[in-house]
Amino acid sequence: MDGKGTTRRCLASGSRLKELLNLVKPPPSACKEAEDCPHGEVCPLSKVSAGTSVQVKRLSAPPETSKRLREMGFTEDQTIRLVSQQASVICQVCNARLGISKELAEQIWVQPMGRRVA
Amino acid sequence: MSEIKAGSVPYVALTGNPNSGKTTVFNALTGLRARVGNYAGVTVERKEGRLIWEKGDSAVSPTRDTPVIILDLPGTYSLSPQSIDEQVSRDILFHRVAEVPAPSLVVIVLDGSNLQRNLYYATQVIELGYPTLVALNMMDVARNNGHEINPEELSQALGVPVVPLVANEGQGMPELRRRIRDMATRGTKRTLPRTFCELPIPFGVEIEAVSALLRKNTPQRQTSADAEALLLLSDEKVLSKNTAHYGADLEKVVLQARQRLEAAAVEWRSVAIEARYARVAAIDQAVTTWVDPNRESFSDKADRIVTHKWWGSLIFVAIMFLMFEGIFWFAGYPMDWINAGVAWLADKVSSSMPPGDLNSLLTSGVIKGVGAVVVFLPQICLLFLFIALLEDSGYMARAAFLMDRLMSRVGLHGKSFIPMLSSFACAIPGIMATRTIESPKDRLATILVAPLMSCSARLPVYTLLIGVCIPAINVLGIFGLQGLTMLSMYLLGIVGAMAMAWLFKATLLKGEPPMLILELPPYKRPVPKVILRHMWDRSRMFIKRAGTVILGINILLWFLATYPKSPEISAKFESDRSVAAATVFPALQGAAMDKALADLQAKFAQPQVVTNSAEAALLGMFGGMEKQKQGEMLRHSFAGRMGLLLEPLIKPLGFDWKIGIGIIGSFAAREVFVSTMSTVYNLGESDEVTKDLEDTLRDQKREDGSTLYTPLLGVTLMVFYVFALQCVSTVAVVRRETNSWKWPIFQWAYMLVLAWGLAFVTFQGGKLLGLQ
Repeated sequence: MDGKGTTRRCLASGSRLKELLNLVKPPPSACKEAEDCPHGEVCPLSKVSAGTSVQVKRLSAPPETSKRLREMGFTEDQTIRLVSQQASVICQVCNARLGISKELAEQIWVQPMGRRVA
Repeated sequence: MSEIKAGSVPYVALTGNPNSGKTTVFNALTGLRARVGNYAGVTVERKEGRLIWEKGDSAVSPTRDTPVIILDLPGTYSLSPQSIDEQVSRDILFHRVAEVPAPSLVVIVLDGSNLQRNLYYATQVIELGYPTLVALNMMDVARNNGHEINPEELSQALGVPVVPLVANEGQGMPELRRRIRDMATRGTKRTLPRTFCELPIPFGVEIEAVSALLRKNTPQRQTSADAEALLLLSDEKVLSKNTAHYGADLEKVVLQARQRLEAAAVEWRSVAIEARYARVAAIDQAVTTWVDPNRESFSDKADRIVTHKWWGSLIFVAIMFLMFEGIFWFAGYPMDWINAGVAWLADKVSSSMPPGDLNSLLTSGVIKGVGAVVVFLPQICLLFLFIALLEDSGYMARAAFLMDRLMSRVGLHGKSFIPMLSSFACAIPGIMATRTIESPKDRLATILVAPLMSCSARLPVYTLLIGVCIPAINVLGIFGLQGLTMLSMYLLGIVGAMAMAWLFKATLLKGEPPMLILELPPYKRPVPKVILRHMWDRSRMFIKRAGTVILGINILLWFLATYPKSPEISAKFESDRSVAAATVFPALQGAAMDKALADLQAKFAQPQVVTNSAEAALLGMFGGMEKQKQGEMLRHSFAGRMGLLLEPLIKPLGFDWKIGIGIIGSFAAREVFVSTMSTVYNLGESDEVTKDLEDTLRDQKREDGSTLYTPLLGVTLMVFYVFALQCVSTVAVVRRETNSWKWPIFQWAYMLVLAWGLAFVTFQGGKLLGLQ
């Protein structure tokens, strides 16, 4: 159902990866001005192309919204897959499909896993 | 179902994430015999039913006949509620709703195909400490996705029994019913206190302190104090929204604790969520085996097209078009039958009893009045059927997602689309559907504009007026003008709703730009039984209204239109009649005259009889006098006086006092307009009781002799009906929903101003263009 093997990664708590990624994690502002997101940098979910698997890094939405996002599975270091990137965004968080408005996608900072499926 | 006293029978709360199949499980537990009501103060649906016993269930159970009540809680993602729906679930689980007893068992429905996210909420509920049972649903979907879940291992990890299910096929249901009955009636022990969050030590210390205070404040506890303390510390809203419940001392302790946590660099907002997710991810991984993780589901494939920017929009428009076309086309036949049936019944009743007030009340007031409304039942049933289909198949969420872009232009988000679509059927379920919208301002804006969508009660009004006023011609060869007019009225309502939503969001209800988080559930084949049940439940409301409110209003209107009677008018008419008769039969008097007139009437009933022209003229004069007399009687009646009183206000819109009577009646319910017109005009022409209402309206003339119901008048009247809030039930629901009279009064007033203003512009503008 998910992109190759991502289901498994999605389910890992991420603690092992966390340390590794923390070492290479660029400052969150790295992508703010950039038009597109080079690999390995943190950028808003709205800038990622469809089919990419990404890891959630930081939420900059208001606290209430961030809380709900986390409860719906957008926790830090969770791996999600972007299914469609059009007017709004659809992503696969574990096995649930969530539709998210563009404004909100702009406030979800992610790091592409560097693997494009679509 | 009989009323069951709270507290005397075990109460079982059924809870779970939205789209986990909870409703299917509930239906299988209660056998579709649920009692649907509302929680006091909010319009959140309260669904409960008695646990059924089926033949397949365990052979002999000693508790078989003990009643058990299942309460279906609204779908919830977490115990930190974001919408009114979720708040109700939370409050019941915390035993804060006075009318609902504390559950003796909590059944959590888990979607096996989306275990991790579902476990998040499940572990929160388990921590509350109620006797708990997990219903692991959608095992088939999980298997199809390549996930094999081990129920025993899950049960061990969670510390509560787990029953695997495929609820929509009934698999596992007997076992679930047996477990529920046993656990609920035998008084199972409370679940051992346990936590699924491994928190940093400082957080644990603070929980300990808050928990101790909670135990001191409320010694009689239904739920674990630790779980409540965790929520209090990590959810900002719990305290701010329940200060009365918790008291100032607790608030102070919590705020201080949060400060200490911040000082210790503990993110109190997110640390518990992350810790819980880490734990449930570990549980999920431990109990699930992945057979084939690469399979693409049907929903994946379908969504690529259905939610596509262009294809998706095209499909959306096509579905909407088919829906409305289908409604009008299919409903046509049963509507004809009902119409014929009503006419037949009125005729039978009218001819089987002596003429007089009772006859008039039964035929004009009751049969034709209520019949004029009941005839729209087929259209309403179909509309509800389509909406139930869209909801049950999973398409509704996609439609909301697609509409998000459009809705965000006016400051609303996609979730407002569902209430608005439902409002095409009726604003009441529409307004009730707003409860899933998280932001109170967005919710209020949606409530305020929802009644602008043309509901099914306007349909009778549009249909009648279009039939009377709009010529049945084609424009551009293929489009019927009548159909186009109908479409324009619907579009006018949509445009009006969008414009007003934008206005409200830009002024009164200014707020953060709305953000959409919407789960798109997997597509599924709708279950006919469930769909029909949905349709029936909602259509029943309409029938009930026709039988109660509308019947009552019709009788009242008949009364108002018949009394007071004026002896002077009758006397004047009698003398006019005698004078006219004396000119044709100068020699006759008294009883002889009466007989001659009766013979004359009888003679004219048979067209082949040739009579002289003087006699024909006399009968014609009688007919005219009768009409005039009834017109004057109506003018003299209470309703006529009300209409006349209103006339100066509606004259600029081109309406006369008879339409005024219709408008007054419509403020109770719009569809009453049709029955009022039927009553008003039939009373005015008592010798033509069975005449078709449309023909009667077409014959109406203004005082200067010109036709009253011109196309311009029809359109103006419809524009008025598009915008005016003429529905007592909507006002009542908005009052209950917003918990104040302020908003319903505001809504009623703004819609009335809009209706009058736009009707004025339409009529005067049309006159300037020379359309009159």
